[in-house]
Amino acid sequence: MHIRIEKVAFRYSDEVKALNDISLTINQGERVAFIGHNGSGKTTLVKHLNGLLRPSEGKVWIGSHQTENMSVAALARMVALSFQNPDDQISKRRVWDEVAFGPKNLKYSKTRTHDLVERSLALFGLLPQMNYNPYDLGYSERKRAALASIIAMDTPIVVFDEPTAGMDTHEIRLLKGVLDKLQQETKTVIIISHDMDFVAEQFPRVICLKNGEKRFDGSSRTAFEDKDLLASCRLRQPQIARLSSYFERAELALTPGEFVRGFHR
Amino acid sequence: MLRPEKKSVATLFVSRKTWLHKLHPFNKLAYILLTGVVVYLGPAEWYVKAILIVLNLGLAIRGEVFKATWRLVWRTLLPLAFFMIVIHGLLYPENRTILISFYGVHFCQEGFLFALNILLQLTAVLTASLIFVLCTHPTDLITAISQAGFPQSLAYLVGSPMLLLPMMRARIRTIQDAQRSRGLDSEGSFKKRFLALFPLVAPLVLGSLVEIEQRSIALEIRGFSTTGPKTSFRTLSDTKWQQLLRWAMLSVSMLIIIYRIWK
Amino acid sequence: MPALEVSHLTFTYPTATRPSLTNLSFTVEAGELVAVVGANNSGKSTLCYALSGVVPNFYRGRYAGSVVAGEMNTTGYTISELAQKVGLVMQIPANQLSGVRYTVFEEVAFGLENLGVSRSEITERVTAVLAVTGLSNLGDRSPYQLSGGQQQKLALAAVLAMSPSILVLDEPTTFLDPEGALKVFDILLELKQQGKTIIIAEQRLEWVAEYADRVIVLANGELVLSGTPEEVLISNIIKEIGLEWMPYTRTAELANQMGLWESDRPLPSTFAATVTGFSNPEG
Repeated sequence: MHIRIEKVAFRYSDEVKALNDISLTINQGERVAFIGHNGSGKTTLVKHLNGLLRPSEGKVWIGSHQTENMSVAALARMVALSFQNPDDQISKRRVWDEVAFGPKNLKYSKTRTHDLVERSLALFGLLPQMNYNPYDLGYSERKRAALASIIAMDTPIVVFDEPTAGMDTHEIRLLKGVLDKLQQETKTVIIISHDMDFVAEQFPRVICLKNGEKRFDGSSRTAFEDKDLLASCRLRQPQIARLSSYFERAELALTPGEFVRGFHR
Repeated sequence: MLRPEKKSVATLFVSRKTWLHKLHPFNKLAYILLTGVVVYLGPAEWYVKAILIVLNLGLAIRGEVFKATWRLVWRTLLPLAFFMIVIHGLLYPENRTILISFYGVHFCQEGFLFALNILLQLTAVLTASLIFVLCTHPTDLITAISQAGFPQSLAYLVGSPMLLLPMMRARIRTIQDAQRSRGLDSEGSFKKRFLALFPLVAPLVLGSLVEIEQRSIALEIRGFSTTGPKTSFRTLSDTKWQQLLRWAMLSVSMLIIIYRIWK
Repeated sequence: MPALEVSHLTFTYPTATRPSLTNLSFTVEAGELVAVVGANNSGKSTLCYALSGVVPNFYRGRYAGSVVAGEMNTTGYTISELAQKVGLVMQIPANQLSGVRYTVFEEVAFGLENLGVSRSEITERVTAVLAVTGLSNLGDRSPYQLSGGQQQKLALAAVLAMSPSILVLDEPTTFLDPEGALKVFDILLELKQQGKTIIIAEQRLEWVAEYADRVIVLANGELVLSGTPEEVLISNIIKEIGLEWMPYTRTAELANQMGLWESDRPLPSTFAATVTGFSNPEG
């Protein structure tokens, strides 16, 4: 199920374009990170993927369906989108029920729902808390529950908006495990993130937005080497990339292993 | 790039420099009370109410808020007027004189006049209220309340919805988006739309509780609960003349009420 | 005399079964910038609350030990009374706005109005604070029209207006983009140079390495390690409590295992130290 965005423009009202002339394609199974400064249009663009927003100009296709012809509930079977603040969606008194919310809305069978919820909770380390009230847990646990509820929907495309904000490294490690699992199931994973170290390590492709326009779409290696791009989009260079640039490596290293291997040249 | 949620501020206040704007908020509130007492408990003649309405519109012109007042009055009352006139014209118990009829349904004068009377009363009070809302800076109202010796929390209770309501509206939209993104079907039949409201309530309430808790802490850090005299950065003028006028309006209101009760 | 003295601090929330903080003791000298590091739910927020009096004045619970700021014991004063000594900035920018002031200027002035400060002094203090936090051009804007980063600076400005000598910040950059985070840290550096004492809970070790004089590590409510960033951030305790070393440190460790890092050179926690280490592998 590919995603095709064709010359999409979006205006909130009759004024400045929040998005202008965006075209891109994402194939099934890809891992893509949207990066860019606050207000560059990342969240606006991503809301077009599940129909929360409809383009003012241009078209958005999910698979063979054009989003304009489908309701958000219908698109939710294909694209599961998580929001930044878990407190904007938690509506059940038990973590289990909260994670089951999505599958139930999509009318999955009882067994399928049970299995999906259990699996999601396990992936996010929340099985011990499955009967707790989400509000008896801390913010980051609620965040994990919210993310779990998204992957429990078992959709071919998953979108996370700033998943690592507020997470400690242990939780980020859990998230990396989740991303690996999703990749094994050839699901498309899209994130929006400010955490350049995380993006550099986990996402081979980045799309950088600036002021509502697409400024860069390509390999993260190329992006994190381009100091002008990073400066103009107000992004910090990931730590290892910075080391690698400093030592003028031929190929930019994005992980400790890559950097150290670069010594044997 | 500003997004609409961030742009809207829920206050209807129109910023001008007229005397109506400089008038103490409590005077404007007293005027609303006076208007209400006069139209509901004063002489029943229609022209009393009409005069008040014209007076208020005149004040609106003086306060340079006529356009906004006119627009809001029509927007609020037109649908209401329609329903009231139709319902009372048709169903008022003391209907006798038929004005128009079609297919056996009679639209009568008594009901019509009854509805008109109510509408005149409402318009008078509404215009007086609009003058208050459109010509009073919310911070001035808050300042007036705390300067009058009312507890700080009351001032806060009155003042905060004005800024916090648009935030809440934005939040409701976000919650709706989040739940719809998880497959909640809120389009289509009325029943579906109705049921789709329930998963909005919990996040709204619980999330608001979290917000309120944090805001309470933030207020404490800013000395909200200190006892002792507070300064108001905005100057609020309150001359003897204004105070006299206020008491005059309150007294007249009281007199009318007492007179009515006694009668 | 230390700016802040914490002695055997133990606190349990009313509905909790175990303490959020256990027997914490440490001091902070005037003008220091101390970072508090730890996994989520390790007690960082509770500690920030305890330092500013929010615990036990707002969140009552079982409290033992003491927190003394200057000469004020936090249990003996209300939060509002302590506010002129210790200010607190929290994670979510918008939740710290009063909701009753319509311009940035008035929002910052709000605290001073509550203290009964004269109007001329208010103008002076607010103008100064807006300048320090880079908000001078936004004085007339509505606080709700600002970006998240600007709102957080506003929250900081509003607290600074109370002229506290100690500033406590609970993960203030969590919801900011890197640019916003950098601006906050630059302001903190400036404040430190003005003599303020700063305690900041922070997840991102990169900032801690760059800006902190000292680091305190919490795990399950206990203080498990304290020292300079160079010492703490490369300690194995960081890994034991579930956190991860910074990419710089991990890279150097990997290099060390392969003999590409001088064996008695300590592992780095900053870019500069890493570069130096790799530039002179043989020492």
